[in-house]
Amino acid sequence: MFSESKFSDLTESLASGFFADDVIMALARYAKTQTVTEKDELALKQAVIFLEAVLEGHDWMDNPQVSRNSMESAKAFSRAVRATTPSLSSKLFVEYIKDLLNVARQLFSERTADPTKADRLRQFFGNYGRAELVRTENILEDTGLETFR
Amino acid sequence: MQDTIAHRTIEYAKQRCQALSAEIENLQDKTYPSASPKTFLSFIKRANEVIKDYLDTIESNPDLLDPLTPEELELTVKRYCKLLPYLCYLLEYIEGSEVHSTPAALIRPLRRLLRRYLPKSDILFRCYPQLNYSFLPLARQLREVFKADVFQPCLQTLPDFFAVISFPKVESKNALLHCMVGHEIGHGLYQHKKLQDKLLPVQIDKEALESLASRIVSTESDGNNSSGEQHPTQTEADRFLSAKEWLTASLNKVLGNWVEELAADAFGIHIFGPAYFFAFINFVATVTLLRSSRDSHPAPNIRMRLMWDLLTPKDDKTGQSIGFDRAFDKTLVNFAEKWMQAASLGEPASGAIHQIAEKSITTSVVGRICSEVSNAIGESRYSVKKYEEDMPVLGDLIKNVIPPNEVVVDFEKQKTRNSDVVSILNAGWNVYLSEMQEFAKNLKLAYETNKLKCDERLNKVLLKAVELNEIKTRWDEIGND
Repeated sequence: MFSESKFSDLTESLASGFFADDVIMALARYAKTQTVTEKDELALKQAVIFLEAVLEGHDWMDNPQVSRNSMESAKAFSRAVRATTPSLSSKLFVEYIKDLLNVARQLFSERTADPTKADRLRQFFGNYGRAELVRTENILEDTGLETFR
Repeated sequence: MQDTIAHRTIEYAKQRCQALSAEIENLQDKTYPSASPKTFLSFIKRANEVIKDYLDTIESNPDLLDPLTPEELELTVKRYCKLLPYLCYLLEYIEGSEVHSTPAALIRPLRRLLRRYLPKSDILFRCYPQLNYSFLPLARQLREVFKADVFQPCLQTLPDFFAVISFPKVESKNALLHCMVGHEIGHGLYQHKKLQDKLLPVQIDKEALESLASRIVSTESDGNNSSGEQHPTQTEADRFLSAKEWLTASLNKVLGNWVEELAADAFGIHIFGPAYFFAFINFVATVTLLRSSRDSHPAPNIRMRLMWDLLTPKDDKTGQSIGFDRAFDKTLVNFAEKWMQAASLGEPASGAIHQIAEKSITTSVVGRICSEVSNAIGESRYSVKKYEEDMPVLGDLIKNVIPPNEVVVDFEKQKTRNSDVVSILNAGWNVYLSEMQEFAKNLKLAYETNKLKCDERLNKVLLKAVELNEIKTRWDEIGND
């Protein structure tokens, strides 16, 4: 038995993990075939939106207003921080995310990118997907909901 | 697929699907007070089948996930496996919604009430062991998780708006307390009418936020490094980014929650009138401090102030009340005033984040919430006029231990009108707060020594009224079909 807010956290964590998996799959296919399919394009578009939101979330304290948009970017910022290992300074974090964003944008709009850079993006989403799976497990474990351990 | 960890995981996950399937069959045979649990059960059944089919597909077509590294493959498979405990949790909602577990007499009237405000919606009412009421927008959440194309057919079985409202099991016979459901329906309305877009943004005090941030982070971190060349040590850097992340995430989450909670309170008042306010006090008094905020909810005193303002508007010119309080007797006025006074005493008992959030809920934010909720609910609110009509007649019936399910409007023509669940419960609260002596007298009980017994009897009368009222309404509906 656990609370509705935990259930919502679990929902969010699962959904966010599936999103990471979609991006990983798109990047894995790109690594193998050097092409971006229509379906993968959608995943890459979502990756661009996500990384833009991370940067917005990072800068939120400069103009702290709570809005629907800021709530989404705050979540994206948290997820990106969890996916960044080893942890970075604020400045390096922004540089890192901006680099990833450029690759994602290039892949989405030009359907091509430097393979090493694309691989870095894949690595980031790999970390993201793993961190989210750990989070999913923690939510389940916290609440005694994990029935299949 | 080769004999890998991912392969074994798929095989074991399919066993879990099988077990889940058997449990679903079992639950399908039980009796529920409405059709919603079975609708929901069909969704779970279908989702379970789709997961199993998907696992079969990736097992027999390894090329499908071929570009992935073994580690990535394991990650994807594990994610699908995590849907199984998720589905198991969903079954808990069904288990608490059986006829014998819920206040069955109230379920249909409350569903009807919900549909007055959200016509194409469905709701699953269930009882749970927690001493709490809660709302969960299930359809929205399920659509978030089961986004993949393979799940689209099972999502189609769900209504556009499908939610779960949970009741505390131990209070299932306490009809008066169930006015709290008004607040939970309010969550549904808040989301359905997209009020978030109208009520946000809310401005945060930047100075207070920066001061808190600087208390958390050392002044030597890179954010304050004037040269901008030297990078801080790993620990400091980690702390700075973490602090920023924590403050951003916390305040966005807390304020987002609070604005929704306050709006749900405003809806609760519009739907249930004073009955929601009285139920709120009755419930909250036993479960939390009046000035204590939580991440999920603002402090009850902030909520009570908003509710009281909505219940007691004043005429702009005369300053006279045009609200429900004009129909309150002295006992009710004293009761409300005492609680409002108690709510204004003492220091805030919140942490730093909550203090910043409380400062952000300004009078203008509260005003915006009240006015947007009023616009959203329109004329279907429970009005002062209706309350004034209801109270004397229904109150008299209750005091005489007669279920107030209908009122005679023309004795000679034997014409009656049905009183709906909101009117019945408001009249119940009026009697409970100011006329229990007389009610007890008609039960031939001394009130002072039999308070709990009298409360129980009052709730029985109210539940009976709701039940009889529902029978009559259904009868009329069938007649009109």
